[in-house]
Amino acid sequence: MQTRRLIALLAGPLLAALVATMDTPAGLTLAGQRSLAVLSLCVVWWVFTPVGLPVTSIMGLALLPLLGAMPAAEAFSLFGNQAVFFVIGVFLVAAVMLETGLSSRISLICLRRLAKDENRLCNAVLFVSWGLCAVVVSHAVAALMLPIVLELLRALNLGPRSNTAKRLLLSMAWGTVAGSNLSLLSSARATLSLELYGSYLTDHGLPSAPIGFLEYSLGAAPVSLASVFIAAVVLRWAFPPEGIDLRPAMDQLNERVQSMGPVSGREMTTLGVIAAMILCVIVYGREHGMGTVALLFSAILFSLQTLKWEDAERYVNWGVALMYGGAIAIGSALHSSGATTWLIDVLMPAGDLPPGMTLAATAALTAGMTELVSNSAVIALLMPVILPVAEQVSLDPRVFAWAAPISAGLAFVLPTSTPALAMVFGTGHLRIRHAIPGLFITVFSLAAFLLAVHFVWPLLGLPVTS
Amino acid sequence: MTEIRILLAVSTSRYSQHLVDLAMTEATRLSASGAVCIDVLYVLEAEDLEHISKRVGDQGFLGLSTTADVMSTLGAEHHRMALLRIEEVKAAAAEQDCDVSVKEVTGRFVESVLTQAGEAQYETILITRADRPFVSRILFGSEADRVARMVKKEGLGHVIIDEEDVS
Repeated sequence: MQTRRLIALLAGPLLAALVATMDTPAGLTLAGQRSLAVLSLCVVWWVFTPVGLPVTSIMGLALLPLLGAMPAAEAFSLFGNQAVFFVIGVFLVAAVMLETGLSSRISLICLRRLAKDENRLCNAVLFVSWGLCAVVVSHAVAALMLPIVLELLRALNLGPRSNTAKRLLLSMAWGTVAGSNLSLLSSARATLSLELYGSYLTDHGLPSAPIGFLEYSLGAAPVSLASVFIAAVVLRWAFPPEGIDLRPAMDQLNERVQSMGPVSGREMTTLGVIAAMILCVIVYGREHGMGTVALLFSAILFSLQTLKWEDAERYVNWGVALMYGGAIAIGSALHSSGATTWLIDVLMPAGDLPPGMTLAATAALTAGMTELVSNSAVIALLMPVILPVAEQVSLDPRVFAWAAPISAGLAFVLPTSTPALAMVFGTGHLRIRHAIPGLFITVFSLAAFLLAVHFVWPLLGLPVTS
Repeated sequence: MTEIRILLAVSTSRYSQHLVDLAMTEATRLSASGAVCIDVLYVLEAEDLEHISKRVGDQGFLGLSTTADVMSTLGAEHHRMALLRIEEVKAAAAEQDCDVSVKEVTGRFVESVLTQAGEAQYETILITRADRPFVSRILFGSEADRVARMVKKEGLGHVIIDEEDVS
């Protein structure tokens, strides 16, 4: 076992034991103290990943009743939360898009149409990767686009010192990172954030104010759009065109498109079912729950044989349900026990920070953490803690339901941040210094986010101050 | 005439043009004492791919089939990179009139280099550092330093670690 893994593996339980056995501070309940002990273990394990993210979640879930932070029945009922089923639906949509070849067809046709010269080819990869994320979860888009981009590199015979190779690979990765903020289908972290926000309202006896699919997308899409345009400018500046002959790449694209043949009935069915699902999530999601709609349409996909169970198993890692179910239970325990409210009272006495500054600092902290830690883990760790901050500084907590997942989708530099960046770094074409310009995208996207909060969201009827 | 061997150990994440230049300079220096042969060991680092696979599966929540597809795509690209880089070394060696032999292996970098170093009598072993954050290197050490320590301990040759990252 690697030393660092062993250290992290032991540090988590030790820290949890320390927090659980210390004298209970004034103002904190025993259940709250035990919830913070569970959180301590999860912080260490989610950040340093000595075990997989879902394993940390199930450990947290098991410890909640064992340490007396939450009754077992309540903890396990949260595990079956409808947000978990919506996330499963999100991954099944990605599975059917990949399995039927529909996503490949869309991306190849768009690339062929848009790639007229070197600059446009790179921009086409960027915008196609970004656009596909509107429907397919961003990590799956990265897995789909990687072989296409590498085929282009091979066709163009681009070696490890080629700027165009680096630009094409970063276009794919940055496109998916920016695209992960497009809608609730683009990433699972936004659903987790909305659910943790919902449970915070319930636990604090506040009136329920669910955020719908369209509402979330309208709030997040301007930032996503700004990110992708900034990425296009940064990529053009950092990796100027080399004047390569694109004909081999175009031949490759033409060959791939022709080899796919005409659109199949299965692809048309997939398109129809997914379009209907999105429409129903928008129209009925608030009333019946987005998880319910996602389950219904997942069942339809299976019934129509568009997706088979064995295909779903090949494309989806079911650990996603364990990760999100556990994270929701831990977040709820922290809220209901008053642990996070106590923590924020101690760390941030009332009136210390202006709301705008607090929001900017939270967004920057989230974006910074996401460079080092999985964005799902960042949301699971930060959301329970930052929601009470909103009340402290007179911000509507809803703002954080957007702020956290959006800023957790602004990591453009390190391979530790997202699977897409890990994949492109894994090709061997890139070193970390090549992705440093991604910091500009993060900074400008954060600025775009703050501008959207103050100028765009009020127009959409989203209040900023409570 | 005495044959002098140089081991140039590279991988997808451990390669620089400067390292190749360094190998040629070393070959020129040693050519006064005999015929120089450069053995290029290209390590396809399975561990690197495993790390990415873990990230795609555990953090991206993509299924085993998708993860395996990503890994095989990356493996093929590593092999293509290896061929391109080996051609670069061969071209540079041809200019210096040196013989070059090539071996491509899949495995861990440290163990692969030590195994190869034990198979022949090497005058010089040339390696470069991987692209890792400075803090990580300080905290957990460098694999290049580990190779140097082990080679010295086993008396397998003289190690030169290229500090310049100019790939």
